[in-house]
Order: sequence, then structure tokens, then C-alpha cells
Amino acid sequence: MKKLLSMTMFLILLTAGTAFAVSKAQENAGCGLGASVIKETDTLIGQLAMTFLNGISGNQTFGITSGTSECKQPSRIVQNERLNEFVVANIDSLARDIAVGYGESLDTLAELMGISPDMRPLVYSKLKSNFSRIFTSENVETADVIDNIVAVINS
Amino acid sequence: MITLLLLSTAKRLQSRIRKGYIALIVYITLSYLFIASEKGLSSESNPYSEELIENAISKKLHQTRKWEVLLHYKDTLDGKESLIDDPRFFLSKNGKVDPQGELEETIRSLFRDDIKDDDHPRCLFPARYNFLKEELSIDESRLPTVNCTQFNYALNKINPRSAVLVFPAAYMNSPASMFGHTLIRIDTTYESKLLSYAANYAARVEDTSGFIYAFKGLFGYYKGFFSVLPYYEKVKEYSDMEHRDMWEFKLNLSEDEVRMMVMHLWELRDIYSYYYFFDENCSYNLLFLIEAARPSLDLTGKFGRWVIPIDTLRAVIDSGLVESVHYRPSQGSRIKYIASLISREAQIEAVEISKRGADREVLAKFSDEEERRILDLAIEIIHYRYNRREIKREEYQRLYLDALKARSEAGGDPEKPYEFPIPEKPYKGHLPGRLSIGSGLSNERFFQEFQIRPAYHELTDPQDGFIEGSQIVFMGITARHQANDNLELREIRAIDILSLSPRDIIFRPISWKVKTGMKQKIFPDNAEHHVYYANLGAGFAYKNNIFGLIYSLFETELQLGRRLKDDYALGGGVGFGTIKKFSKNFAINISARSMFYGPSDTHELYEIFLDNIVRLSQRTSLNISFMGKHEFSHTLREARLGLNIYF
Repeated sequence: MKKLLSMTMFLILLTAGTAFAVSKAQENAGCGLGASVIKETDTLIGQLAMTFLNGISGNQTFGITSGTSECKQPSRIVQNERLNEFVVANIDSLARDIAVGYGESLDTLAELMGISPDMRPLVYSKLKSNFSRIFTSENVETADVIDNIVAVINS
Repeated sequence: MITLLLLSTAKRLQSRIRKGYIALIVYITLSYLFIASEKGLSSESNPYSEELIENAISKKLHQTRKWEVLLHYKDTLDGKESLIDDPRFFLSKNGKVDPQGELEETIRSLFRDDIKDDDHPRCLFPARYNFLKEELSIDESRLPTVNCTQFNYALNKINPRSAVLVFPAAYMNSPASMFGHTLIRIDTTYESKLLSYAANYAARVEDTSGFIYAFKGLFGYYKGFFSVLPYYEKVKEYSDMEHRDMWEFKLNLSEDEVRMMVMHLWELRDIYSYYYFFDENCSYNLLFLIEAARPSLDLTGKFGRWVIPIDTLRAVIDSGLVESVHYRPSQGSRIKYIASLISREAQIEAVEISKRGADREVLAKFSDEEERRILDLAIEIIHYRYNRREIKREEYQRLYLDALKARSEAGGDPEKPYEFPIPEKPYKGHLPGRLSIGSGLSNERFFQEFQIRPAYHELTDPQDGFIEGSQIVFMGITARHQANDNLELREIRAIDILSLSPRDIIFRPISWKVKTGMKQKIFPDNAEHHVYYANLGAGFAYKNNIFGLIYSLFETELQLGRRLKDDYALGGGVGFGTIKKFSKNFAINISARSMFYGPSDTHELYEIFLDNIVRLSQRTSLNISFMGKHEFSHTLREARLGLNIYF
């Protein structure tokens, strides 16, 4: 029965036409905005196959430490690898949260920097109004973003 | 019942095929095993080791639930077999089928002094060691000293406190995703859940050719592995890229139980099992982690050989494990909600900003609040377009930063975060199997009808808990009995998938359908005969407040049958329809289509269909439907009342 179903499904995928490619290549794109994007080929049939085979992964197994080694290290924050990892991997949503003035990524940043909850509204509005000082250019690197955030908070 | 029997037979056949493959792997790793058993024998002389083994056997530890859970043993016709296929998971040669031998060898291996630290079985299998230590009150000072540096580092970094079962729901234009997926989030002392870790079970895929990929995935040629990643990676993957809302179910596991879960997860590091879409899939394997945390639960035993992720979620909820539920809207849901708050003019401006950047003069025409919403929407759309590779990275960076800058400068009163509406919880939808009993009149002749559908959801079902306009049916079988006739097989829908995704200013999906099976067709002799058919269609759908989800699809169809001239007919045509949901409990579907067939057996088909769907409960619903059909020169008028029972 299961084989029959599998076979039918496979035939459907075949009869459904054109070849499709599914790849989940990790885009290795440096350390700034848009760097942390994984994208699979997005064809109709590709989607169909993707979801039939729900839960397909790349090769990473125990990513307990995520790599930031290819990125420049921030200078002012010492001994906070976790903060660095988080910002490298979430730079895009962090940028949005800073511009908006609230959000989960911003809360995470504040927690990792040890900013107490009652101080956060003040810090967030300070970061928001200094957005251009933090994200200085389109290809700003995460290490500089961290340094700039620290500079703005301390100013 | 019969289905289950068939499935388990098929399963066993398949496992036999697999055995050839396993034999090969066993052969390759023979040297490893050989060494392992040799060394095992050499430490047999240790008196403390023998004492512990004796003690363990007298306590029948190998028959305990905990041991069976940790080794993933399941009952077979003649004993036990582990679902893990990787020989490295077992310390003894026959560990896969021999719980007692594996237990003895595990105890012996604790005394090995030829393997150091991280590679020592005590470091590789911390949950097993922990179990034995507790049950046998092992005196650690009498064992060789080992330092599990890597394991301790991982345990410290994960710092497990509590666990959450995460269910990414279906996404638009992908009916198959309604099956869902599950993963486990392990929460730490951090308040931010993004810093938690996610444990996921998935097939590891190296092939990039789609056909090989589909084939191998369906027939179990891929190896499944557990992975652990920061939760924010999973949020990006499901919520931002795939547009799947995520449901997070906090489990009431204690800190010690979650610690045990992580220890077991460590044991499964780089250990494979063959991955099967239908049963040994992501959701099923994840249940072992929960069982390892609390062995008194039997979650994996609740399933036959057919596991749908949503059912594993229901099993976990039914076990009383869930403490609270949290909803995390996907980017798609965020975009839809923010767009719904602003005027059409403002939506168009957001799209404009996402393409050309923020124009301060135009934005100044809107109120402060509307300006913020326009920019919020534009920010999401730019991100979405980059995810879909519609724009290059340089363009993305420029547009994204431009919109963010404008947003950071947008003024107005202090703002409140959006309160995204929470849809019906996915497990509250109807159950996947459906049995229908119907009766009605067909050209003034009375008929009774029986329908069975093992999975999953179709337009004639109540929609809550599923995606609107999506349908996926496997093996739907309809039989009909008409006055003075025998019971006749009316239709088998081997596969019937339909995806109606509305287009709007932001999203431009193509709606589509794929359908194949066997059905009765009226022929010029006024009798019905069976034909095989395969039908493909594509078109557009739109959402309208008054008419509901309206759609139009162009279709092509191939029919094969001995009654057809030259045994086949090719058809083409067009269909229209609308789905209007009036409430949680009532919806109407109306559709019409016309098809033209040829080349040698030329004939036409006109069909109109109206269906009322009444939801009675999670397990029952009614269909009241009317159908008119004209095929060859034959006209059929039908009215039907059907009761659906879900299982």
C-alpha cells in the first residue's frame, strides 16, 4: 500500500512535467545585510517535491557553535561570542527592529548586552534615532554595527 | 485495519530490501566492529564489570521501558528490533536486535581503557550511562577516568531548562505542506527564545537532481539525522523564507527530563536511520526525544505505519504534555495583516517603495500612523523579494537600508506593536481520514453512496485549521449503489491536489491542480464505463469580500479507456468557481467547467456543481450538493446529502 502510494506520487511528479532542481545551498555572502539568507530553488514542482519530502536538511548536524570566523570581529565588545554570533546571523531583522524601535531581535540584543528591562525603552529610542550612525552604509559589516551600537549607547 | 496490515507487510518487505544495503555497511564497518568486540572480550575479566552485568540481568534492565526507549527498540514478530539503522549506535554486534546483549556490552564498554575521553562510550552515550549508573548504583571511582570535554561543552552551551514542541503550519500554494512538520525547541536560561536551540530530524540530501531526490526520498534511500541549530535559524527558515506560521507548544517536562532529552540527543549525533516519508519521518522520530525525557510516555507506540505530523502533535497534546501555546506569525501572515490595515492607495505606495525607494514627499501625504505602516509593509516586501531572489543583494541592501532609514525617521505618537490575529489552531481542524455515507437522486433514481479517504483535506471539508483553497487527497474511493443495480466502483482518486492561492498587489502566485485516478464516464450508449484519467490545470485566484475566493483554471486531461475511440481522448477546457466561507460552520462552493475532447473521440463535457458544507464537530460534517452534467448527448441531474465522519 505504502509502496503503491509512493509509486503513484512519484509518477505524478514525473508526469507533472519539466525537470526541477531542489537545492538548499547556503549562500556564503559575507558579513553584512542580506548575508544570512538560505534559499531553495522555487519552482512549482520543486515546491511540491520539497513538501512531500518534508524535513529535508543540508549537512549541518550539531551547530552548537555557529561560525563567525569569516567575519571581522568587533573591537569594543570583548568575550561575547554569543552576541557576535547572534548579530551575524540576524543582522537583517535586527536592523529592522532598530529602525522600528522594538522587536524580538532587539530584545535579544539587549539581553545579550546585559541591558536591564527598565533601561530598554530608553536605549531602543536612542538606537532608533541614531539609526544612520549604526548602519552607516549599505555594505556595513556586522562587527562595525556592534561597535556603533555600543558607541551610541555610551554616548 | 487491513490497511495497517498491508502497510506493515510492505514495510517488512522494504526492510528486507534494506537488509542488503545494511549488510554492505556492516561489511564496511566490519573492522570497527571486530575491534570493538575484541576489546570488549578483553575487559570481560574485570570482576566489577561482571558483577554489574549480573546485577543488571537479575533486574531485567534490558526489558525495561527506559532501555527500550533509549535504544529505540520496537516489537517485531519474533522479538525486538531497533529503528536505528546506523551500526555505530550499538556497542554489540547484534545490538539492533538484541537488547540484552547490547546492555551487557554497554556495561563492559564502560571499563574500556583503550579509548580516551571524547571517544569513550561513556562520552558518546551519556543517557545510557546515566540510566545504568542510577539503576545499578555504579561506583564511578571503580571505572576508568574519562573527560567528556565535547559533551560537557555542548551541555553547558545548550544549558537545557525546558522544552517546546514546534509545529510550522502549512504555507500558501503548497497543499502538501498541510501535513506540517515538527521540531523541538530546547529553552535555556535566556529570556529570548531566539537563543534557544532547535532539535530537528530530517533527511540529509546531497542530490540536486529533482527526480532522484523525489524517488530516493519516497522510497527510503536517504538517511535521516538529528540536527541541533540555534532556534533563530529555524525561525528564519520557516517563518521568513517559507512563510509558515509557527505554533509553539510548551511541554511540561522538568529540568531533569529535558536534560535527559539533550543527553539522548547527543547519543544520536551523526547517527542515521533510513528516512521514510510515510512513517519513519521527521515527526515520528522526534517523539523518541520526548520519550527519552519521560519514558513512562508511549508516544511512538500510538502509531501504526502511517504518521502525519499533525497526528503526532495531537498525540502529544492528548498525553497532557502541553502547558501553553504560542503563535508566531510568518512573514506572509505579517504582510497580509499589515496590508489589511491600510488603504489600497497606501498598499500601492508600499510596493512602490519596495521597488524604487522611499519618496518622502509622497509619504508626507499620509497620516503618521499610515506612513509607519506603509514603511513596515515595504520593509517586509523588500525582504521577501530578496528571499525569492527577485532582486540582487546590492539592490536589496540599498532598498532595505533606504526604507529602514525612512522608518527610523517617521514620527508620530508612541506606537504599539502589531497584534497579529491568531488563526484557528491547526490541531483543531478535522481529522485527516474521512468516511462518507451519502444518498440522493440521480435523474430521479435513488442512490446510496460510500466514500473513504485515508488523507487529508479537500474543499468539501470544513476549512478551519487548513489553508483556504487547498486540497490534497490520497486514495479517495467512492462506491455507489443505485436502485436495481449492484454496488459499483464509481471513482478512485489516487491523487487529487488543488491549490487556489489568491493574487493581490504583493503576492502573484499561480493556482494549480494535479489529479489522477479512475472514474465512471457516461458514454453514448447511456451506460457508464471506467476510464483512467490524469488532469492538470493552472490559473489564477482572487479573494473578494463578497464573493469569497474566486478562481479560474485552464485544464488539460488525458483519458484512457477501451470504450473510447482509439482507447484514449485528450481534453482541454476551462473552469470557474468560488468558495465562500460564511462562518466557521458554513461554506458554499460553486464551480462550473467545460471540456472538449478529441482528437478521434470528439465529445464535450459541461458540468456545474454547488456544494453546501456544514460543520457539525471536529469529527463530523454534512455536504448538501447539486450537480448538473452534460456529456456526449447525455444529461445528468443529481442531488445528494452526505454525512462525513472523520477519523
